Amino acid sequence: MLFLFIPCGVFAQKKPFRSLFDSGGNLSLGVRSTVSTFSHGKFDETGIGSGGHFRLQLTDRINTEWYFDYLHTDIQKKAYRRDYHIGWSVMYYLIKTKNFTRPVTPFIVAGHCFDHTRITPVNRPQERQQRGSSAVQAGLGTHFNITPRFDISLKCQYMLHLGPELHAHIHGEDVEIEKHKNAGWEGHLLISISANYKIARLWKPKG
Amino acid sequence: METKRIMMAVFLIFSFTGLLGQNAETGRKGMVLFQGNLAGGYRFAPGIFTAYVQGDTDWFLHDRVTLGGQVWYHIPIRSDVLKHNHSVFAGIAVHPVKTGRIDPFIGFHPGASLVGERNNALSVIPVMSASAGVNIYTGPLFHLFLKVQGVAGNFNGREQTSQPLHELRFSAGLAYHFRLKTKKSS
Repeated sequence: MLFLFIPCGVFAQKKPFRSLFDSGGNLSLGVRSTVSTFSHGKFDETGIGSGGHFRLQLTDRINTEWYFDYLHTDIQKKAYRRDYHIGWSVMYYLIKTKNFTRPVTPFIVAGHCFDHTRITPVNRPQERQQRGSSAVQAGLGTHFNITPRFDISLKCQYMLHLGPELHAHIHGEDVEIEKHKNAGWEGHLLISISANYKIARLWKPKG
Repeated sequence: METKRIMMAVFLIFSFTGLLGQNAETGRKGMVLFQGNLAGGYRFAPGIFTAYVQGDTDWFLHDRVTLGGQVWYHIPIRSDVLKHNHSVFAGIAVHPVKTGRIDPFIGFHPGASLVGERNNALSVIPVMSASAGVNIYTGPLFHLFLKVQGVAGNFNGREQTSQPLHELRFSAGLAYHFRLKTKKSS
């Protein structure tokens, strides 16, 4: 009978309380360059962009990124496209971060953005068309941790536009800008490289 | 007269070698580097050489990493259809050697260029850049530097002038540094 009471002591021990936020809190600032390729089903119209972002790490495995991008794409020297993206992404680390002391920290990423597109024929700027829309993106990436506070991140995402989108068609010397309803699976492949620095820890982990 | 010139030249050479006798920087965290110089470049698309006035500053937030910014002011030359190609960049550089007189680095600096073929039609073009170079510290205030920077972007002006902005830029010369006061550890 006495032996049955021995395990009861296990339940009397205090289980360590792990708050949802007890491993996060890092606030980072970063600058990024983005290359947009594989546009609308074809490997052409490669765009180059710059932007910035901040990251707020919620837990050891979950980080959020809030960004702005400006991309410029040449369309066969007959027209050009400007895209402005403002959005957010969630990154899930595939391994424990160990306070970013590992040389590499891979992650999967998914997010959403608002997108403003402007397409202008080169010799007829008065025929410019523009449109706002929304998009979702997802992909893979990794941090290269130079120090626990500095990292260079490489990310590859596929972006799908939601709803109608602008697209330029080149017919010889002529440029036709049209709105595509439901672009379907024809989106953009975005490759981003960024430099980031953790400027503060907004809350300290417990324990 | 000729002997005097030779002696003057020898004197000038030896007067600079004293700089090498000064202690090399040990631990670079807290140092701020800055410079302003003429710089050159080669833009691949039209295949022409370019000229800039360039300045930059870097801050060692860690012994091996700097945060920095750069400004490039384009000097137009006759054969260049672009009259304006001014750039600003911001990013980081990694310095693999923590201490010592020789300080190689590689950097990544996204930025933007103000580009135009005439004064009233300037466009802001996003550009990406990467750089590699070396600093040679000669004392507590001065160092020599050499840097090569690759820049990539696209500009669309009129059809005849739409061209990539892909370019290799070179800068070298005398630079300056000072150390910010850091808290003494207890």
